[in-house]
Amino acid sequence: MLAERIQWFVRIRWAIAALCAAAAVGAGIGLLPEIFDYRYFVGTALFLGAANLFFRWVTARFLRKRRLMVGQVLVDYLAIAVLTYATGGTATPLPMLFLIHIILVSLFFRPLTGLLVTGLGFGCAWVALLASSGASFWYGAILGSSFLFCWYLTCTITQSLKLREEQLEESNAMLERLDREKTQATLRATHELKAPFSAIKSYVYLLRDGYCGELPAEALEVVGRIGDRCDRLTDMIAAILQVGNLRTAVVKEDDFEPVNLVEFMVPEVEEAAVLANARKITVKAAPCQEREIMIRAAPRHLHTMISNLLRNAINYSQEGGDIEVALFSAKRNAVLRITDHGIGIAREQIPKIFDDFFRSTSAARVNPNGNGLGLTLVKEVAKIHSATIEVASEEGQGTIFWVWFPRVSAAAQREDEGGEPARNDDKGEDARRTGEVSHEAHH
Amino acid sequence: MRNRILIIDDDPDYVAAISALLEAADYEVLTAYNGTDGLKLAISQQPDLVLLDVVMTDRTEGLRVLKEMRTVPALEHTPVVIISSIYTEMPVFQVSPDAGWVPADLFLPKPVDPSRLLAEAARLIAVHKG
Repeated sequence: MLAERIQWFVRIRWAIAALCAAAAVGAGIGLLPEIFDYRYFVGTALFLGAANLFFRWVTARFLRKRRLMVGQVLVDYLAIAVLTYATGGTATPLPMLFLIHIILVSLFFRPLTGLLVTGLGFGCAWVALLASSGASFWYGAILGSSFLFCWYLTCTITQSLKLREEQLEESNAMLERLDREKTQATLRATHELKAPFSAIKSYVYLLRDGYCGELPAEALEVVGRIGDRCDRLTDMIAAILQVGNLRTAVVKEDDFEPVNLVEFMVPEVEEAAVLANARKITVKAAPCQEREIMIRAAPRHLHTMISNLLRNAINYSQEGGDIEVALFSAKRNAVLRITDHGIGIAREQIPKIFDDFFRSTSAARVNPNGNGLGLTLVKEVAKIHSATIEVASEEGQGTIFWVWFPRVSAAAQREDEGGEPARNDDKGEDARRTGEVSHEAHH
Repeated sequence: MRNRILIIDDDPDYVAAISALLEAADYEVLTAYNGTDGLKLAISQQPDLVLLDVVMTDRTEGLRVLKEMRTVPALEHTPVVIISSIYTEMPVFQVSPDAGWVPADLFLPKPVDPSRLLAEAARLIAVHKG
């Protein structure tokens, strides 16, 4: 930031040098009043130009930028003092140019350095004013007070900003530490909750496979049920922890990366097709017009979302049914559409389908093993991706889910892989809100 | 002489279930419920195969035990199977042998199917014994 400001001053100095040269020409050919002596302008233009060249040379070789800045301020003070003298002292507002330097130095240096620069600026201004038009005591007092007030105000604001920045950094470090601890605690909790089920499942395997002697068919069926229930509980524990994680975790920028949805969807569709095949359901991907649709995504979470949507479509389709997956881009959005022709959702239940543990009447009838957290996970993942979900469904006809992701342009991706995602603004104002879910009760 | 398998896992029920399975398949089973005891037992008994859990007293105890085992000349080539649910809990945490940094011979997710475990145990012991 300091380097940026120094660059401004270098550019401004070139501009002032050019203005001085122009003023010298103006004064030389009589365009300016007689009081303006062209020699001062020529001298200042040359001095500023030489100073700029010197600073550039020194910066590249020896000095650090902070030290150099004080040198630049001194050069500028000298130039302003000469110009103030050359333009008649109080006749122009040139002495106010000292204020810019006072503000800049007070922003980046300690208050005492700022005060010294303020005093030096006032000294230069006062000498120039006295030498040219002989400014009054009151003019000097007002000028000095303005300089001091400017220094005080800038220092106060800077100190308060620095304090806030330190507090923010401290809070950020604390949040990061808490997040790390929470991740570790979650991992431990997941492990501890799942461990008993691993042991139960291992005993179930022993019984099922006859390692504890042959079991009658009825007993085997009971053992099978224990195993299934065990799996469902394990899945539910994992889903509860995952939802909790998505809701409370500080989303890390590192988790996100540019993802080509066209490529990402290929294994997702293939995996779903294998699952669907067991029930003679066809999963087909509609031809995509583009080879690359880029979004910023956390791949692990994105997989959770897409696999849940696809699994839902499979679970609630009739045997022999078909599911279509389409992908397209619409202005600044990437749109994923999953269509099934299954049992659908009753109109009055659509607004509840993303609620924790909610199971529609028809869903509970068709798939009693669901845990009611699949679409909750989908919603939470959408939220962290600034994506919007839309649902249209009719009972007995099927359901369509649309997920609108903010698209990342190839240029933006190349420019800054860690940048903000594009705004999701292809649709109405209501749909722009993060993680927004909207519903329609018909196709 | 029966082949000897060491199970290092902090879950007594899980150890009991796997022990019953291995004993039914005619293996001699040794058990330890933490990494330190497991390592001592491995050094003193030199098993033909080690089944090792990851998350025990601390989060990476199993991995530490495995690294220490590989520094003992007698255990340098002993086949080790990591059996843990950590892979399903944290898929980004690559503990599979494919990841390259875990000197295990095989990774199996917990709970493991008995027939798969028995097949892999027989294969690894056969390879080890040449």
